[in-house]
Amino acid sequence: MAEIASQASGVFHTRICPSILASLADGVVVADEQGRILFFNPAAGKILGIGPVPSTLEDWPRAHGCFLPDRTTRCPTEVFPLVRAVRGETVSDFELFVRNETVPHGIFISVNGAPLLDERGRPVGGVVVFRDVTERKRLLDELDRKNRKLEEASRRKSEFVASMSHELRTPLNAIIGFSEIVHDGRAGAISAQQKEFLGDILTSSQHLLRIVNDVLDLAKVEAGKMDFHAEPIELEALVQEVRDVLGALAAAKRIRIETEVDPALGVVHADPSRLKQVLYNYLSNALKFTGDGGRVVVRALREGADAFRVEVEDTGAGMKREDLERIFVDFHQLETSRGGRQAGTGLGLALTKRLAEAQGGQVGVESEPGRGSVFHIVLPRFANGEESAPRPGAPTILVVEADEGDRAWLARTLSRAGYAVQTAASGAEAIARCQERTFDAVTLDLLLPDASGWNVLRAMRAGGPNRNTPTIVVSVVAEKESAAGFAVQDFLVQPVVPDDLLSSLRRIGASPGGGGPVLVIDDDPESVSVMETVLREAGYRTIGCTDAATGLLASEREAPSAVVVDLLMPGLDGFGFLERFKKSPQGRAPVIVWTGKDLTASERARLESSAELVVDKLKDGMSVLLESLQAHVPSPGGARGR
Amino acid sequence: MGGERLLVVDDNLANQKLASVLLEDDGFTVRTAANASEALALVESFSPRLILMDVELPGMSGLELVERLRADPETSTTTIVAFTAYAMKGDEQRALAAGCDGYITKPIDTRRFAATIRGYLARGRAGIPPER
Ligand SMILES: Nc1ncnc2c1ncn2[C@@H]1O[C@H](COP(=O)(O)OP(=O)(O)O)[C@@H](O)[C@H]1O
Ligand SMILES: [Mg+2]
Repeated sequence: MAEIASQASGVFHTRICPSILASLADGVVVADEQGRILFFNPAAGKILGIGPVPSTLEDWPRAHGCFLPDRTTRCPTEVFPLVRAVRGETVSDFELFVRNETVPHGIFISVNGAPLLDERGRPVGGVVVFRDVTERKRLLDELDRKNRKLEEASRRKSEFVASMSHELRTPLNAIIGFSEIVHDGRAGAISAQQKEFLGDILTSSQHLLRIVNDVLDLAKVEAGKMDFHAEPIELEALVQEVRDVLGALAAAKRIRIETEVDPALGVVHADPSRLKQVLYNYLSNALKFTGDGGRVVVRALREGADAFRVEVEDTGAGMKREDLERIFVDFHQLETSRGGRQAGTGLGLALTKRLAEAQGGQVGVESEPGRGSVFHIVLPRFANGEESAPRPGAPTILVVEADEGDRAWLARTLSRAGYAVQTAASGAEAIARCQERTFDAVTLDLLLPDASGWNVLRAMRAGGPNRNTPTIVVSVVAEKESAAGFAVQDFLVQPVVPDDLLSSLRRIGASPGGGGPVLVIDDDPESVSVMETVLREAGYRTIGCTDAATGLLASEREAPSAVVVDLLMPGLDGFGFLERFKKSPQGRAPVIVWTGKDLTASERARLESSAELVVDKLKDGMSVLLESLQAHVPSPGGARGR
Repeated sequence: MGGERLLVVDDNLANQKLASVLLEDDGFTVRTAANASEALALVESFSPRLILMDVELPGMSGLELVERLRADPETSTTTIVAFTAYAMKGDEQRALAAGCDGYITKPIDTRRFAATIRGYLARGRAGIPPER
């Protein structure tokens, strides 16, 4: 047996191996440990354009024109692959440029190398295998160039779209604005007919604005430049809002719209304006492509544990199977059965798909020609990201507000600031909510459809769980006088800016606790991102800023639970920041100064009076910072007191 | 004539007029400028409490102008609100970084506009209430 094996291996070495090497397209060169060339296959000679017996290994790069890939630096002997292989190193995909008399234009080769070992594993030489990659490299370069061109073109397109939308929105501002003023009678009395016509101008210009916005939105999601603001949503009300907008169209075609919201769905968190946009697109299509007297159903259901699904079903034209995947593509419209184009831009579904995907969701459609279609969107039930579900233990605010827009605004502002929010649109609803549980605070509109806000307040104060709940009146009417006799903690006149509302809540003792983010300010963007990563891993929410002025603004928009600030920054520095921040309404948040500066005694004294802590970047390091932050503001994952 | 002094800077005359009509109706005293040099002259002679600044001006950009005003001690604390038809993410940050105190996007809501401006005035520069 052993004899046969060794015979076979003898044949392999003397006959098979040389013929493999001779017919290989790759170059193979072998050298011994002294750097003498032992073997050189024909392909090696052909690729490199040199005869069968080259010089010694030492001066090969010089003698045969081997350069680094920059084509001009002669390859230093230490990195020459065969030299390294002889030295016992492994070399992979090392690129060289070769130019000599035989290959005057030069070629690129990619080289792999390995040491040759004897039976006991000691290095006795080295082998390299290489191939001509000039063509591959040229193709890759070309591909790269083309890619760059495409990227450039797409960037220019986005810029064009942005500036175009700017140009279009600028005149719309005046058109809509002046029409609105005249329509509302704010520029003098107008006749009923004038009012009607102005209403038509307004409707049309709003429509134009919607198209412009769609185009801009598409460019924005494409460029990853769209912000999403998730908040608790009442789906029933949201669907109703969209139905209201399209009510006239449905009525004109005698199409019945039904809404089925699964009561088991519970609260969902999503960006309401984006969800409305999606629903509007689906519903307007359903109405557009459904014949007179048809039926459209809007359905909202749970999808698994963490998602929800909104569907729009119609009894309209339907679509062929092969068309289904094309309709979500930009600007794509199907031929109608009657031939010719439908009105519209073909933007709606493309935008819908992008919006869904940008929020971690997806879209889809099922359809049968002649019978109808079901379009759906699936979104996470709790959008992750900065404005997710309120943390357990967040104070709950009851918003009593008749005006739909104001109610949404209040709810959004509060939930962004970290509060849990419930809403009531009427006096009766407010009183019912107040009997269910104790709120941490109530915001109260005075002009309710069924009662005065004072009646609600009287009912609250008369007894029950909210007898002592702090209440802020938020109303368009400035009848402060009539507040006398009722225990109202604050009085804000609409329109309110977020800050007034939030600082008023803080004043009456309803703070979102550890809900605020940690504000990180450092002029070095690298440091900001490192710090943010560390803090996020520790369970904190963060906001990073690279200058103190922006930091101040950010702190004002959302009260931070703590601040980590660098001292030495151009413009407003850490000292200046501290001075201003500590005077602001958010100034109670602990500030950790994070600095590499050697502090003088007076600087230290100045800091100690205003900052909670000074941590030395070099001496103390990140772990000390984290520990002390946790001492002041336990990370939201852990137990937290208020 | 008792209203607070506001300066509206916008090169689009229709939009300039719309903003000033709405603000005058609300009792403000309003002056307008269509470019940076007009704006600078009015800042000097009229000393507005608040400047509504279109960020897209011919010649010197609105944001450059803001930076210049911020560098001048006379105007370093004047409330400046950026006014723009742009709405890309990052635009707002750029305006704030240049020294604006806020940001209003066109088309405006004429029913809320004046109240929003009042809100900015009440808040003062960068949310720090004006000295009492
Ligand atoms: N409910 C529907 N029934 C039948 N066809 C539809 C439906 N919704 C969309 N489509 C088809 O998909 C195309 C793209 O729709 P969309 O992107 O909303 O653009 P637009 O509504 O502007 O035409 C439509 O032109 C139509 O051919
Ligand atoms: Mg459509």
